[in-house]
Amino acid sequence: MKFLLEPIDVAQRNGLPTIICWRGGAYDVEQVLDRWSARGPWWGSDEQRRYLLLITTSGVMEIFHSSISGWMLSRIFD
Amino acid sequence: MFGSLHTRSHFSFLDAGSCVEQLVEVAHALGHDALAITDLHGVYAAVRHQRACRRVGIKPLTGMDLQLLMPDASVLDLSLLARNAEGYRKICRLSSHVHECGIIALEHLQQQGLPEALCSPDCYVIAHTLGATPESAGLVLEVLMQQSGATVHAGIAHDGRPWAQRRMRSMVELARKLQVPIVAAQDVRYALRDDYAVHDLMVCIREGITIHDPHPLRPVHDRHCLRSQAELRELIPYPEAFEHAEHIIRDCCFDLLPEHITPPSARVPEGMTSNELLRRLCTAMFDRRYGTTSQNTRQRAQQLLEHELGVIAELELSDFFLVVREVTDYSRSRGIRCSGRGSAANSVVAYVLGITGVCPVEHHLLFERFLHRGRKGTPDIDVDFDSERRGEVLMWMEERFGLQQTAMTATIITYRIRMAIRDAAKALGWPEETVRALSKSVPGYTNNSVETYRQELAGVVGNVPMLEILIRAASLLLDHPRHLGQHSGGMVLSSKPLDMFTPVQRSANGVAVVQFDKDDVEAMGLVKFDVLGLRMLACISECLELIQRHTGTAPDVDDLPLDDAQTFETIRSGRTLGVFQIESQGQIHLLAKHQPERFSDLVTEVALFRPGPLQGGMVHPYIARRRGQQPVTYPHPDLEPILADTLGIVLFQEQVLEIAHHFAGMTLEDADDFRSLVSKNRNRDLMASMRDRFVQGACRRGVDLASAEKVYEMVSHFVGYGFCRSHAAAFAKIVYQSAWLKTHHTAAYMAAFMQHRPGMYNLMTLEEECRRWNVPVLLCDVMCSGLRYDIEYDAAGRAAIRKPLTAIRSVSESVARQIVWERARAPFTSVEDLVQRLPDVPRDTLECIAIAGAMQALEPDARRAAWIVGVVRQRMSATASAEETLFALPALHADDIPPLPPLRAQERLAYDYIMQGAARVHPMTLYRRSMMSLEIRTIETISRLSPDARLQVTVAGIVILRQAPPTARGMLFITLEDESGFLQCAVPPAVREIFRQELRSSALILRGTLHGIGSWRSIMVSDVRILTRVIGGYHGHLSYAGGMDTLEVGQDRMESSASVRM
Repeated sequence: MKFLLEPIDVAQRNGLPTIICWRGGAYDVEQVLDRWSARGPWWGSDEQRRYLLLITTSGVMEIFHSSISGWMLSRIFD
Repeated sequence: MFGSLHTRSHFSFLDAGSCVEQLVEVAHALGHDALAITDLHGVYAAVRHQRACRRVGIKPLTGMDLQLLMPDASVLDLSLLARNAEGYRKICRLSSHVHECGIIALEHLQQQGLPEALCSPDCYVIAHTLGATPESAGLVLEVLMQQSGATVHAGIAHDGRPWAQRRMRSMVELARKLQVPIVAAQDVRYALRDDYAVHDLMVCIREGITIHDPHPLRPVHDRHCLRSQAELRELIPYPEAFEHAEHIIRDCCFDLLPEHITPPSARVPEGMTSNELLRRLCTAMFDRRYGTTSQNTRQRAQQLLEHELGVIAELELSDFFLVVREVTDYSRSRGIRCSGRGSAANSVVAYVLGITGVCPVEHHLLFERFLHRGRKGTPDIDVDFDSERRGEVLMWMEERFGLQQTAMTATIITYRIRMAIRDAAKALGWPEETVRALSKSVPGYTNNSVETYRQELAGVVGNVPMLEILIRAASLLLDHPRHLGQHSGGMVLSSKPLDMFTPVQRSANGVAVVQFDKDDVEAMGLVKFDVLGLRMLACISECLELIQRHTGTAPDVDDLPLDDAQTFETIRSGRTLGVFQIESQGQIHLLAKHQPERFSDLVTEVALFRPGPLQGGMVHPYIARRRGQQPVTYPHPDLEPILADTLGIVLFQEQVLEIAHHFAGMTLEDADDFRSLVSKNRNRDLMASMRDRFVQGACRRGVDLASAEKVYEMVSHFVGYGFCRSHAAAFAKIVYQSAWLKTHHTAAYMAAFMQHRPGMYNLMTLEEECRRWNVPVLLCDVMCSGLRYDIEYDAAGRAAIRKPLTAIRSVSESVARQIVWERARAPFTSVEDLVQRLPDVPRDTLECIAIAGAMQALEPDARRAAWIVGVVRQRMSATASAEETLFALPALHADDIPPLPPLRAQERLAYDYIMQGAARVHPMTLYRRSMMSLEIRTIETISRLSPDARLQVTVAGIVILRQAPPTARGMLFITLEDESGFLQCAVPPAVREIFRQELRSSALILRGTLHGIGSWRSIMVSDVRILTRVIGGYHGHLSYAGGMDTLEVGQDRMESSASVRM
């Protein structure tokens, strides 16, 4: 598992991601494993983050979306 | 039916972020039919929870969360819910057990069996296994199922973290495999999503981490809030979990708020009721109180007694009165001084039984302020006891009423601004020094918001972005409970075992404390009796003992004539330092204006100097009327009989009650509610409705609208903390007694006062006061000092105070006892002899005794005495190690002691201050000559100047008090003391702002305009200088450095001090 915090582009259909574009590559989303939400630090941005755990053609990715930072890749699992 | 079954309130102490009332309101708004509060290891919120649920009409479920220590060192939560009163009792016992023995381990349960709450059909047990490993979860459910059966459930929740659904599914499968019913039990820690911030902050404070540190217990999302049934059903797709929840909600039925009182049981002879016994006692003791009074007083007292006995019997409070009487009787039989205070002094029954000492008839006290037929809950009877011996009374009460039936009331310690700033700043990661500076920059007690103190906080850390976060974080914490404390004296007494009502836990000092505060205790129908410690009573007792011991007879201070001219002269002249309640500078100022002439004036004096009359602007009109500068008028003629003795001004709570009763036509019960509401002034809506009732009631009685409104406005100003007349009268009696003793037995009184220190002044000031009253204070002396302050008489019969050995800082009672016992065997003949005969006393302590001058009778030079101590002790160790006897090797040779310079005056004073907290002459004595050159006058000189000329004067001295009461609107009051007296100096807000830094110094030169009245003087400060910066060589207090100024002045004074000693 690797912690990242990098911006990504996400193609969506019906509100769900279908393609993840990261570091010049495009990865298809095969399955949404889980979803949850979390909140940023209350003393900071206090943003609401919507997390998704996905199986993509490049492995398992944890991504989140918030109104402040947009789509971000938070972790990848080997 | 639906409701949350696993909800913690902020009574879980730093583990949940919402109060019970908010949780109930939000649950109601979300459509819940019930709400269970399961605080960690306690039922602290139970009463408030039941009350709040009654208000909105949802069902309260009472329970507790129990943490179970698993074999893998993880912790698993169990929720226990009371099905009925018996279940609640078992939960209470379990809570008491956990607080006594610590967290329960699963292994312990496997070996010893389950506590009754976990295996009883009277309690539901919900195991929250979601965070546990499948092995742990299986183990817990198996253990519980084996022993408790049907009431065990597996709690299912969606924790909002990754893989929540998967974990929930596996737990459901496990429960089904073990045949444990599942129940929806979402973990709720706050009412609304935004409250997660305070929850996170509390966890950081509790765990001692900063907000930047990761921790497994910190919340990662804001979903521990209350949610609607629909939302939860979507998250928890198991309908049977909701069916089981509904079954539990329907099945639990328990009411903690009875309509009756559970009084303690008095000792009543066979065949007699407590009502009959109370009547018989009152009749038998009536003559003792009223045998010598006038016929009118006697008749009125008889009428009142009959009325009171009727009310007491109707409210079933006879047992309570009998028990309080039993306690006060016991106390007196053991020579422990006690005195009833508060509204109980309004009762003739309490007076006749000897619980209180002020006659309600003579002082026009109103019984309804204490008790009436409409009163909800039990009345307060507060009794002060000699603080030093209060423990004996408490121990006797535990023995008499049973350990199971007695415990102290709790106080819920909530976040005030200073503690909120402190904890929040710590959690934000500021260093300890900054945290301390931040918390010191705000007042300890205030109702203002944190935002109000932005400037003060910015003064410490600057206008940094983190300041915003600090202000927000501290605001979030305000009013939330931080921990459970112990009430100063409220002891719960019950005829039934207390575990039927509350768990009992031990405070830090080992006292049994219930889990509820006084209001909750009262709501449960339990009776609380305030056993308060009052150091002034200990002081009076000790003073009387000293007089008895030295003169053979002691005065009966409880039966003094209340018109002693000399005592009133002491009071009027403001020489009241050390007198109960009237020793503060504000009170001395008020005395100068008020000039009390009789006992009733003392009652008024005590009541005047309270936030209620001060903030309500009643003090100045009263004084002006008393001095004849303003005519005595009444807003309506009907008020004259009520307000005549306070010159038309509302000063006492009873007057508010009487006005509401007689003027506005309310019943006495309603009038008391009105009085209570006006005093607290908390609820605007209620106040508005009361205003309407008051005005309409007065108008119905024929009062015109304008007058009715005017009277209401006058009465409504009586807000904040004001005294009831009975309380003021009870205190005034102690004021008079202490003033009388100070006037007629000054040495004994001041000795007792310094022993118990019931006042606000430091030891140095008290010793100066003794000298001002011509009572010498003799040094500690190993040849004659004991363990307590004592008095000695010289050949002329003049009394002096002898300081005890324990006045020396490093001398413990144990060391002092060793010295006294050894001295009793045979007097010490030399320092060498003393050191040899006290082998167990540490060398450092002996050196302190020597340097403090306490060996003066054996060796006049303190430095030389200390040297001898060192030599002898060293020789003793060497002898012991060489296994030679002391007789073989002399402890001291003549040439062991080199020529040593005697202590200089400033060294002597510095050592006095360091060793004993007070110097034998005032440190300002040493600098008088320099100050005279600078035209700085002594305070005594200032006191002789006429205030009429509004002179500009300069004074210098040591700051002995620094006060900024909230009633003074930003004014700072500094009391300066020099060798001739003390003076209050008022620093206006503008000057305070300019000299903010200087005013923190411990020794000041102040310049300002002289004000005064009678013998009282003060200055309105316009300029401030730090003494050390003006007079060279003086670096703050002598304890820090020592002066180099006019040494000979000090030398003279010290020599005269030494001659007094001889």
